[in-house]
Amino acid sequence: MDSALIPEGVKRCSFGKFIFWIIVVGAVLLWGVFAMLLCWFKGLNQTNMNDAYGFAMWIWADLAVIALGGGAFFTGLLRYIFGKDELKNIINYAVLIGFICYSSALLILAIDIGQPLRGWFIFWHANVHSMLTEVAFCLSCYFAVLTIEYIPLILENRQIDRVPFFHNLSHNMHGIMAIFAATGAFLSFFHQGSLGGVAGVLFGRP
Amino acid sequence: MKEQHKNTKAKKYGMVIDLDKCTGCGACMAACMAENNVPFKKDESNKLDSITWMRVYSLTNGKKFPEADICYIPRPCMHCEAHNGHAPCVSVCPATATDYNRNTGIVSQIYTRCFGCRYCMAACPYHARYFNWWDPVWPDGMEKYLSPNVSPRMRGVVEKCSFCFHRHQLAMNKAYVEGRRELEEDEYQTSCTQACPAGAIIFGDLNNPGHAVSQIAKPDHKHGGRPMNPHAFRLLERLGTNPKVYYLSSREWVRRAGDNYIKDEGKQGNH
Repeated sequence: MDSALIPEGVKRCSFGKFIFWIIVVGAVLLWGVFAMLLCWFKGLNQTNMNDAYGFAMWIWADLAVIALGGGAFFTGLLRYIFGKDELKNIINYAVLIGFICYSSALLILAIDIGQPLRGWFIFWHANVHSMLTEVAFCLSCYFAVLTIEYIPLILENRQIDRVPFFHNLSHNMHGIMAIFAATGAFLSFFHQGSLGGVAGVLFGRP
Repeated sequence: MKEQHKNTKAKKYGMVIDLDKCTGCGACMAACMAENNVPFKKDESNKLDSITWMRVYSLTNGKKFPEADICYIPRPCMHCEAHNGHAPCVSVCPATATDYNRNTGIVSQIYTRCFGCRYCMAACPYHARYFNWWDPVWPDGMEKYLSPNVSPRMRGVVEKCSFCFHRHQLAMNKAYVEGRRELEEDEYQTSCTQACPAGAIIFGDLNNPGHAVSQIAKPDHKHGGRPMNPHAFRLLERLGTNPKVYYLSSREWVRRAGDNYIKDEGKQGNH
């Protein structure tokens, strides 16, 4: 049934092995969810951060995960703008990873601030001089672009594709995807720059 | 109203702390905690997650007995003016929860707007900003002793010394009722200034040549406010943060401890 999805010469692992690794990965995931709930309900005192070590996970996430997620934009740029068709086999995978990276980075930002319910103040009371404002704006923009790039992947589902509206939507989106790929890559350069700037503008802490 | 604002000269409230007079008793810290409803924990031994708007540090010259010397140095928020009000913390706050007041020179903190990203804490070279890791818990009955003029802070926001800004508001209210637009020097004084038994802390308007702070520190407003008094210095002067807290000491090693000097660097002048 799913033979079309499995590359030639590759075999499925046994059910037991599959479940074992799902449990391992699931346990790490649940651990993370538990930590997230602790931070939200009990506050950041649950972490080991203090006044001298004020930034922890989100700096790590932004610098490492975003760098990984940024690959989606560049792959998209090469695929849709420069027409490197060799990339068509990994473009979907790259977009998926980028989507996971960016959504988790946003989530970690929401966990790492002291008052998550006020997180939207970064947009409402935005201080345009702050690098963090720029990072937040960029993150949201890229996330929107990634969502747009990700939608066609869902529409490729054969059952959804049978609906004429979704079929046409998918077709049209593919046509204009180059614009979003270019936008994404364009924004991505800004974003990596502003991330570097976050520490760079601290003129009191050279 | 606008006309009147035009006719009132902008203030630049600042402090001069005489380190030769400071005995390190900590009365300024206690007075500050009480005045500003600063929360505390049952166990305050971990100074990395406790809150002290005013904090007294001790310095030593690192020498052996006959020459050994110590100095206590109280550290409030420096209320940096930097260049044109772009204090290190003010420019980085993503939600504009801290700003530089050009009428008073005070760096404010809006607790209900701060969402606790702690970027300002990373930006402050003086470690004058503190994060509320916990919700404040007052011992039974203590809430009756809280100051009604200062709102207590919730967990997850940053707070810092405000130069007792609520006292400025109260004094201004009184002055307006009496038909005045200017405050006398003694009408607005911070809690730590009044609490210091040695009289080591002086507070006033650095723009007003009649106030003791400007007479003692002699700030050179054309050159980023650096002190012209040879015994006065500011912390980390060379970063260009242009702080409004000046320190006085007759001891050269204390003045040199105020910034990072290379070992063999020439004797420190007044800038």
